[in-house]
Amino acid sequence: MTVHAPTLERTTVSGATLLLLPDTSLPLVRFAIGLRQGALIDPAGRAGRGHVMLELLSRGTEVHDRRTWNALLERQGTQVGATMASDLGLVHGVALARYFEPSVALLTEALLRPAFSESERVDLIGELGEQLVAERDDDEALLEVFWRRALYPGHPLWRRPSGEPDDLARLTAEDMTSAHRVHLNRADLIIACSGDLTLEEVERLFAPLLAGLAAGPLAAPSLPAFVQPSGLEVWVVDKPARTQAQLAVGRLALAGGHPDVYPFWLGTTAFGGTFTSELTQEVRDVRGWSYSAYAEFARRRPYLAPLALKTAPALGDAVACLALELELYARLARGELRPGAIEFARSYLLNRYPLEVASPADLLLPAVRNELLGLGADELFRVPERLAALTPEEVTLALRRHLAPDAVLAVMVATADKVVDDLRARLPAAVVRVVDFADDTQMSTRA
Amino acid sequence: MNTHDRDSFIAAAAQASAECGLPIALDGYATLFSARAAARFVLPNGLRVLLAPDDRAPVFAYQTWVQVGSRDEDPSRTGLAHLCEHLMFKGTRQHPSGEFDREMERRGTQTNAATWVDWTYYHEALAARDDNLATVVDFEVDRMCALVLDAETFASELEVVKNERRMAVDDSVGGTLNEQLYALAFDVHPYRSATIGSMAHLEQARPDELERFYRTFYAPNNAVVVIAGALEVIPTLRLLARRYGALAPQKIVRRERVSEPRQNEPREAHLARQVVAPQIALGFHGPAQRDDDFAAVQLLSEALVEGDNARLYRRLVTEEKIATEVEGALMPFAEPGLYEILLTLRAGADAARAVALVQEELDALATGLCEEEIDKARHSLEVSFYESWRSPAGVAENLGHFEANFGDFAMAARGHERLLAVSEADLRRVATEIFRRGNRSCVVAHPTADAPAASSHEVIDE
Repeated sequence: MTVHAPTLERTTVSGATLLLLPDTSLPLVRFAIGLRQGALIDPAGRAGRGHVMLELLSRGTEVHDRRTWNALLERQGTQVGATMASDLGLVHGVALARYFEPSVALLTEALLRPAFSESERVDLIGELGEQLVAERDDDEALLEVFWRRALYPGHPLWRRPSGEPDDLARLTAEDMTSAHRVHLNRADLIIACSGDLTLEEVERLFAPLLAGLAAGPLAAPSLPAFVQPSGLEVWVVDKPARTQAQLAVGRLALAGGHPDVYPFWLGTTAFGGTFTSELTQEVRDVRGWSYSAYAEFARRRPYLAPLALKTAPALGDAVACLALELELYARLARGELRPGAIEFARSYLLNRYPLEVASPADLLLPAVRNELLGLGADELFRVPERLAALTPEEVTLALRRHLAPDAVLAVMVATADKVVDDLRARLPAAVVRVVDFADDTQMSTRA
Repeated sequence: MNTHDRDSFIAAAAQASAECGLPIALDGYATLFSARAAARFVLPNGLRVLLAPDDRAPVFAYQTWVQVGSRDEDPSRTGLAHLCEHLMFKGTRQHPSGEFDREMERRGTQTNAATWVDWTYYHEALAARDDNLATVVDFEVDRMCALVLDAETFASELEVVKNERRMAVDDSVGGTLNEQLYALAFDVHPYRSATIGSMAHLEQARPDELERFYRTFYAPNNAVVVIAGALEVIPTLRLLARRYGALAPQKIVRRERVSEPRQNEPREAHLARQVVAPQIALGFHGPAQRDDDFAAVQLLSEALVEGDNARLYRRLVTEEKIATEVEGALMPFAEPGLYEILLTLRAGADAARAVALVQEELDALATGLCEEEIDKARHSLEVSFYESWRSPAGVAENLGHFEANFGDFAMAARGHERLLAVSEADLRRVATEIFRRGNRSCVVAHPTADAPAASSHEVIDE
């Protein structure tokens, strides 16, 4: 049997990073143009600046108006999206291989010569403002909004990368040109492709883009310190007529690139990363309290990322479910995992690895994030050896080092008058605050 | 085997058959693309096996497609097909509850299942090494015919399903709209009932009726096993024949098929919901997936909703600024389903005006699409077509879906050629028939304070 192991080729050209994951299996090219600075650098009072700038790139250039530019790209069948995350901007998509070169030409035009028309900016801000408000109709999105606010008091990360309503309304034409200048420069650019290409071809196709950008990089902004909870803090995001609560429990843990990332990841997978893990078993299997129950930790973020336990119990079970999760979390924070759990999780992650690397195109975003963290090009392929080398003691130490049993946050989207009394009775030590789901000003008050 | 022509599959079947003593018939063969192929085999008990060897990566996907979906339920007991799917992960005669998940996860398997209107499928993806394939076969054979239901497990999993319904429907405006839309658009066809089941029916569900449902539909002659990826054909056929061959077929008793009568008058319903802005779901009766007109609707849909210049997006979001989001899709059902259009309006927007604008754009399709739109639609759908074949799981899904729905796995590979075969006259004809006003059903979720007092055709909330 022939086995084709994925490969990652890397080079730098004029300060920009180019990555290629060769893939001859389909007549498609997947691509990602990464911008090393994300929404985190939106200035105070200007949340959403980077996101609006990215969106405006597809709303007209100095060469083609919006309708013509989009018609040209769409006629090629190329599917493109723009995403501004907190740590990373991305213009990404997929194209038919035979149209990749003209698609890159159009993208280059948009990236180098956006029109930033006044009317388009105003219209876009109106649409985005409406979308932010409409997030209140999606309980999972609402949970994420308030989870951010609880986790990151006084830190720019509390803001949604797509913006906050008052901030969006302040954005000006100068904000767009500033954002364009700070986000788009060669040193901050990571171009990643997967298809039947060579690295030389990628370099050739993107040469005009690189030639048109300033050298960079941008000086990294200074950021305030992160503030952890000092005890149990529970937010109830009050929304009428809920039959179910959306629940997140946890705290800030560690950043990608930290030496403890692998043992922490293994430990949290053992706790809540599989169907048979303790969290999922206790909440879903034993009690039937939630359709989904899992522990989430994003291990490739350049800033302090949280461990979050996510569940969605019926309203009548919400407080009991929260109490159970706090108990389970406390044991996790003391490094107390079920016997055999670490080895089981290790086996799961190691044996799953061939699936993770089976399709080169699926490695594009992990490769970009590893690049962002300053990890080597081969880091993608070193996951098995890193996992295999871990000892149980390292895992439990990492959990104890980065979690605290009694200092934890909980955010619950629920109908407050159905849960608050029970909450206060069952968790007397908790600081409970009730916030209106439609209130965009409620922040954590931790100093 | 790295070359997969028909003769090599025939030879493989013959050899496997001789080795295991069971007749294994090659029943179908199709070339996919990029030198890949798939073959269908049938065992004496009626089990169909699809194999699609692919040595790009040392992984494989294993899927079991059972020809039962929510459309097969008694309409007074909805949700059983989906509940049965949940319980298929619990105990069997050979393996106590929890063992399936533990063993699969220990091997790094990605595993899950899904229930829909026409089928239920169970899927695994894992590394092609050691005894992974044999282990998957062992578990799948056992749960196909030897599920064990105990009251405690049933009760617990029923709670999980009820919570899934709360998440997907009761607390989800989109989910509520979808459920109400299908109940409104279909009078008699079982597509009118939601796959998740109504909460009232779930509350009444009993282990014995679930057992009857399972025994009725879970049988080798009502299933297709699909394996795609790194596999050796002869040993795989031999293993499957030996293990599945011992299962007895059974008589599959289905409910009488009914056809939905033609809809000639528009229908609408209005709901008061906790939303900041109106949301609208529109449905138009459309062709079944195997109908040639399905490809025509796909092309029309691309022109309507995909991309910045899509007609509905441009009209409602960019020009009229009445909506913030527009989506649309034709559901790939075995029988005629709905073309759905979903709108999220701006706060305070007039829902009736939004529907009127949509209808204007749909009426304009009677003159067809311009060349630019047709090119865009074909190329975009070509991208989606190839993307769906990227992984072994995607390959298996494509093949399994078409085999389960139509008994024609080869149809999966003809998606692109079907698009190319659509003529401009087809587009005009199909647009005129599908998007006529009388064929339209519409459900609007209004902010509670703005909800109208009465509606022309109200769907009753349970």
